Amino acid sequence: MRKRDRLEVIHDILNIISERDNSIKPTPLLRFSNLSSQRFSEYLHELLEKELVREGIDKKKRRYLTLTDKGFRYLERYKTITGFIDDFGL
Amino acid sequence: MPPMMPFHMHNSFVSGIELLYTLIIVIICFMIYFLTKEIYDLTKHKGIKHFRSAFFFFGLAYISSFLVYLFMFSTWTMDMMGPRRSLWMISLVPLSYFSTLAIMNLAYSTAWKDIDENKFIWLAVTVSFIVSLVVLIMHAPMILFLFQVFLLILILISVFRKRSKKMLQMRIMYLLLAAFWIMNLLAIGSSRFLREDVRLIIQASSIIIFSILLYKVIKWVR
Repeated sequence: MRKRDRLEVIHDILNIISERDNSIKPTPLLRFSNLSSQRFSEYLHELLEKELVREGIDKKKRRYLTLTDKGFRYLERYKTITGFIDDFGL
Repeated sequence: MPPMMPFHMHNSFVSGIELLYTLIIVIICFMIYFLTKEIYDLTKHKGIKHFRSAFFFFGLAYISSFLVYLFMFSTWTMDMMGPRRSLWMISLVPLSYFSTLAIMNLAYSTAWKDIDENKFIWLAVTVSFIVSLVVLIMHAPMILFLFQVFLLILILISVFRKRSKKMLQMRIMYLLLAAFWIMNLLAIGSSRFLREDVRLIIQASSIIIFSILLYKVIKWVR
């Protein structure tokens, strides 16, 4: 199986959140993202730090993740970004 | 035989062309830098980061090269003959520093997976600083020229080691960009001896290469 690069993994994680009505708990997100728990934690930390996703607490006091405007913008611009990187050999 | 232009008018005309050329290149460089801001902010991709830095530093290098030209030849500074040489030597420092950083960043933008970023930044800043210092202390801009030709040869070797055809095309483009910068450097250094039409060809070619890159950037980020 082809190894996904960092941008692709980020895209996949954001896409999973977006497809689930922009709200998902960390455990199912880990399962759907096909990452080891350690790599998932690293990516989640990066996404929160870059403000692509936001963490919230629901009424039952459970953690959930949601996309920020920047996260949606990433999904919109993903093809442009990867095309740009390929085209310029970066 | 057509009547010759008086020296001061000729000088103003050439300075005007130099200014226009600098403005066009600087605008293109900063446009590339600002147009790629969003995709960098979204990804923090190291290749995009150093690609942007390269054009930012090229912009500053072209501004510096115009200052060098101004202190060397322009009638604008003719009145201050005394400090002119010192000003010219001092203006070579930012020129050396920014242009070396620009070429190194451009090369690194395509090779960031192979070299640790912190090591590269340390190396690029140190090398650029030392080159600038040597140029200033030894009063020898030729050192800058020779060093950048050496850098270009290193890039050339790395370009032809890559097998991907698409990446090869783009790297040749970067190589041309760096090569025309170095020719531009030579054109400034030997302005007294270089024919005006040769200078114009170098300037027009640089503008074409920068414009092609800008066009490609706009095509993606619009």
